[in-house]
Amino acid sequence: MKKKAFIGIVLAAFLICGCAKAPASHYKRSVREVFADGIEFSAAVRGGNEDAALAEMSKLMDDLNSDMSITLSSSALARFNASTDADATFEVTAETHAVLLRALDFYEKTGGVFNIAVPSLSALWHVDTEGLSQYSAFGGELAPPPPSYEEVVARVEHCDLHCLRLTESDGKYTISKTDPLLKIDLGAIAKGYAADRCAEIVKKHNVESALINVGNNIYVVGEWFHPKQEIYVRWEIGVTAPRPRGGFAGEVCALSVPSDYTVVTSGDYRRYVLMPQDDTVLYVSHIVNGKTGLPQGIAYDGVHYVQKTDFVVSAVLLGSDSTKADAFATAACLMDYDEAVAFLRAQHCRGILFTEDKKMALVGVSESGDEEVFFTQKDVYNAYCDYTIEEYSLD
Amino acid sequence: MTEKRIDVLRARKLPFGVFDVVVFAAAIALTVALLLAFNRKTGEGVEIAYNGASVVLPLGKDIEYDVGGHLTVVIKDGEAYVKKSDCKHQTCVQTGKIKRVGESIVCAQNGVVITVVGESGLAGTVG
Repeated sequence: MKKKAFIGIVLAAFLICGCAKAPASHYKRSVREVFADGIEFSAAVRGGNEDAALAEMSKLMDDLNSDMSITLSSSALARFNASTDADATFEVTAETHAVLLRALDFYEKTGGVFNIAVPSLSALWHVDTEGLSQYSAFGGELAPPPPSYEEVVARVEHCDLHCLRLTESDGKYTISKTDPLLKIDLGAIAKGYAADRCAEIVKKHNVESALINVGNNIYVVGEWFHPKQEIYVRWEIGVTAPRPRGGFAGEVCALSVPSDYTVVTSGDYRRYVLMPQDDTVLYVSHIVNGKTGLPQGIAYDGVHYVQKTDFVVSAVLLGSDSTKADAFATAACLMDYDEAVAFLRAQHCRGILFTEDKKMALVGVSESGDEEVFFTQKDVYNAYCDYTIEEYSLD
Repeated sequence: MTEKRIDVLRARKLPFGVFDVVVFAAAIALTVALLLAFNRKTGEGVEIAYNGASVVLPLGKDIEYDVGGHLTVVIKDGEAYVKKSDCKHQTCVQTGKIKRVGESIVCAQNGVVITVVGESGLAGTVG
């Protein structure tokens, strides 16, 4: 009888536990697609004026899209790109002007590797918005064969960002070009800029804690209110494994990051097309080098395009400036591994680099916990063990 | 096994041959591979993101869930899969069952992303 009563109590305890309501996430969230197909904006805010912050961020996304889009025919940048008149000037907003100035700065700092003047190359390789949509590796058609090397070289001549002119007069901002075939696209930097602006907005509305993600540009404000512990702790941010392509392998590692911090990723594994060449298929990344005219991870051997094996497939940049992190993550993806490590150290930028041949550089990031950004939940997110890890301190 | 074969084995220092060692090694390798493959933590729920909104369903409760009239997601025995979809390529249906944290099914045509989320949890993920 006692035994039956005991079993009854245990069963009742299980039932009570099973029916207990799961703790609420405590965050108010918003998710939507912005800028282009597959680019998602999400925000989770807690404390302060949450609704006003979410509404203002959503409006900011619309404003930035209408200002900086190159696919909306009405935007200044789309009209600039469509024009072949070297004397024409186009009025842009103060915001677009500020982003263009930063893009020019990053162009110089990366020795021309970070270049916003590559839309014509992206179109040639079918990795512009239209190409990525039509030839998406996820259910789309196979792209046409690669362009001839002569075509590539010919387009590189029109990717010189020094041909862009910015002027400011009486509070009006205009842009013009000295090369009629120059085109620009702020896609490689606008998401980072948007994340920085969103962080300002949530702080203005006294939000205690926020996680903003603009197309893989995360910005965290305050500390993370842990859903189980129900206390504020350091943020724990996962990094998607770059291989196999598509992000289907989940997180390769998780990072513990402090408040008011950005975590930005660029890589070749989500937005790319498959391009037939002889009997093989080339993986063509959306990140294209304005100096060589070649997409990330592709070289030319004098006869064919070849897939490299020692290149940076994905770069994760960290810090407090999401615009800079966005630009430098793109640039790092276009550098050789050693060059990218040296660049991050010289620029005093924390980051993680992954190569095709399974090397992983931790620059100013610690596996053990003695840097301001370090690995966490190592028993759960341990796919990084497949990589040869090299740790570098900041210069 | 013949008497002669047994005698041959008894005459040796070690009572097994090269083939036995290969079989043992293969068994150990298979065990290690299986342990590594299943090392990732089983998820607590699946997050279904569609049309600007997301919903998290527990993996522990069997259910059939309709996503915008395009897909039917089934959760059964702690696993999630797409039972049917009106998309062209059926990649989401062919992806099969997912149950480990971070695994996902994507239906590009319908803009649906189904991801297994874990208990330990992360605030977010980049990449």
